Amino acid sequence: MSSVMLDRRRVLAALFALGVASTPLARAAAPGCASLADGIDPAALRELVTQLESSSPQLASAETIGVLQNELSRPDALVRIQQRVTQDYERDRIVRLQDWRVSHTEAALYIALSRCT
Amino acid sequence: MLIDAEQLEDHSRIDADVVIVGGGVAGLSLARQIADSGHDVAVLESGGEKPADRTQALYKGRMTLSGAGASRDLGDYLTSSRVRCLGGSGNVWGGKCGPLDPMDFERRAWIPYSGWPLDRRQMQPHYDRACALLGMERFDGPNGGIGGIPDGVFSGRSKLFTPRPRRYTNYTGLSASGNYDRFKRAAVDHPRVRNYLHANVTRIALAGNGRSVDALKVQCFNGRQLTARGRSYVLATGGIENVRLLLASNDVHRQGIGNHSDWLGRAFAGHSTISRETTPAFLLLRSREALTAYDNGPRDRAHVVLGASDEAQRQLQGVNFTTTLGRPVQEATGSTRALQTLAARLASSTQRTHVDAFFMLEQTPNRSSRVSLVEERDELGLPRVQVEMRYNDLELDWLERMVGTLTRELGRLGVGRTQWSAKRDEVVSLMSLSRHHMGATRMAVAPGDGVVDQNCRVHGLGTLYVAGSSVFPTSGIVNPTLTLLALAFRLGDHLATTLKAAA
Repeated sequence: MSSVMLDRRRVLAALFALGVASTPLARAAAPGCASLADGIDPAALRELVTQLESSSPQLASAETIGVLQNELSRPDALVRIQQRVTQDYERDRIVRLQDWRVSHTEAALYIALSRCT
Repeated sequence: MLIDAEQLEDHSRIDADVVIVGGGVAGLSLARQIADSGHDVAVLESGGEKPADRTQALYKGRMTLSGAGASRDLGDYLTSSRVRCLGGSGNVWGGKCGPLDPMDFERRAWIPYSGWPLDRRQMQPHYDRACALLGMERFDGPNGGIGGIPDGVFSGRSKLFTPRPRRYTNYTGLSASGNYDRFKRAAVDHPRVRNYLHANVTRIALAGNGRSVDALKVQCFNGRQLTARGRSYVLATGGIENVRLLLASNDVHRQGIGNHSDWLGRAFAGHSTISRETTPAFLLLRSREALTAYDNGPRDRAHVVLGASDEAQRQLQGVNFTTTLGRPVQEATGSTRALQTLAARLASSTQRTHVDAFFMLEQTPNRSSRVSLVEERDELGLPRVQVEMRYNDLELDWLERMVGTLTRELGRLGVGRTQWSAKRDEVVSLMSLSRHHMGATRMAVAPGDGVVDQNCRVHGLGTLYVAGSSVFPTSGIVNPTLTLLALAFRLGDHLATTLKAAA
């Protein structure tokens, strides 16, 4: 069972990374998307993504986003992402965006969420 | 008693037990205290009862602020940041007060020339008297602060940042309370204090052996020349003019009085706030109510700034650093709002307060940050000053390091986010200088390490003392007036005892 789940996540992550997963599919498969992106203006998210892709393209890599999409698909998505954010700050994995200093996970999350809203 | 020196006979002589040069906060407070102990005091004030352009022009000089290869000319800062009349710069003082932290008095091994020959415990009774004079409650809580101040940002969960308390007094010329006028009147009306206005001290004349003061030479704009003699003399003319007078009085000691160790004028330090347009800004995942103690606006209660803790300074080998939060700014829109919303959700927080702020950074004792004299002279023939205020690389690097540390602590603990960006060579262009002038007649036990001893007496001169923030050997980061007043009380005790013993 777990290997089946794992395979499904990997496939989904790859699809997200490639940008081929449709929005309805993504939303249905990623409950974290709905809770985290609820009420956030999609255009504002896209603006953050555009700035990020320009200033820190390494954070927009397929692998990074894929991993995050994988997390978003889990029922405990928020807790797991919170742990990643905490670790980022502890390890100084911080990026600047509009002079705001945010964790790598947060930055990658803008991209991941922009693809499921 | 107020006496207009211009109305005295030419070549008149002023005699008193103690002659104080400068009728500002330190000078007038000290005058009252010494007079209360039964001694006659003469206060020689350059200005009149109100500021005048001609007197202010005596302050003119050159000043630059530099660091990391960048340099700024500060224009008329030397005249605009000081007031040369009865009450001194206290007439325009904002009134913010705090004591130096216990750690500020200690020698910090990673900061050359840091530390005082006194500790906070020795200073505490004098701080208490200064608070009483200024109508404030004492700073006698934990770590020399105020008890019961909540840590509204970190709730005590960060070991690296701590609330540092401040209070406001209304004993300033800017307050409508009239308290500062009453403070001045208390010295003016004291039967043992004679306050000479328009009395410009232009030279400290030493006895032939160079080890004691013979007299002070006083000049007036109307050409009158006077002489002042006392059993003791105190310079209380401010953090730059104290140096100027000592350097300019060089007929016996060619490098100036008290310059036996080449410290006179060196280690000049100031305070500056650092900000750019609307940054630094903070998203704090706290309610506005939780941040009430950080509100810098109300003057009727203590407020706190967010400071690098003692542990942070020790562990990271840095200097004092504070963040003063401003008022909440307009709610963010667009992409900033999206960024903030997501940050709050990731911390499971329903509270959000977006505030602007400014940073402050301690300036450490730096021999190349200095006050010196230039060829140009003022109307009375005294050489003008050049002030080169320099930040070193440790200090400027520390700013980014501490902003990074603050960012990590806020993020790690789910408390907030920071907005700030400045390259090291930009920082001096983002500084706004306070009126705080410290360090250039520094206090040290050994003559070779400073200008005055722990009793504020100029090393090697039996009867010449310096009052004010110029004696601070390490500046700390808090506004200096409370500390200079505490030192004035301490000096007053010393002088009263010394004069009594000599009698």
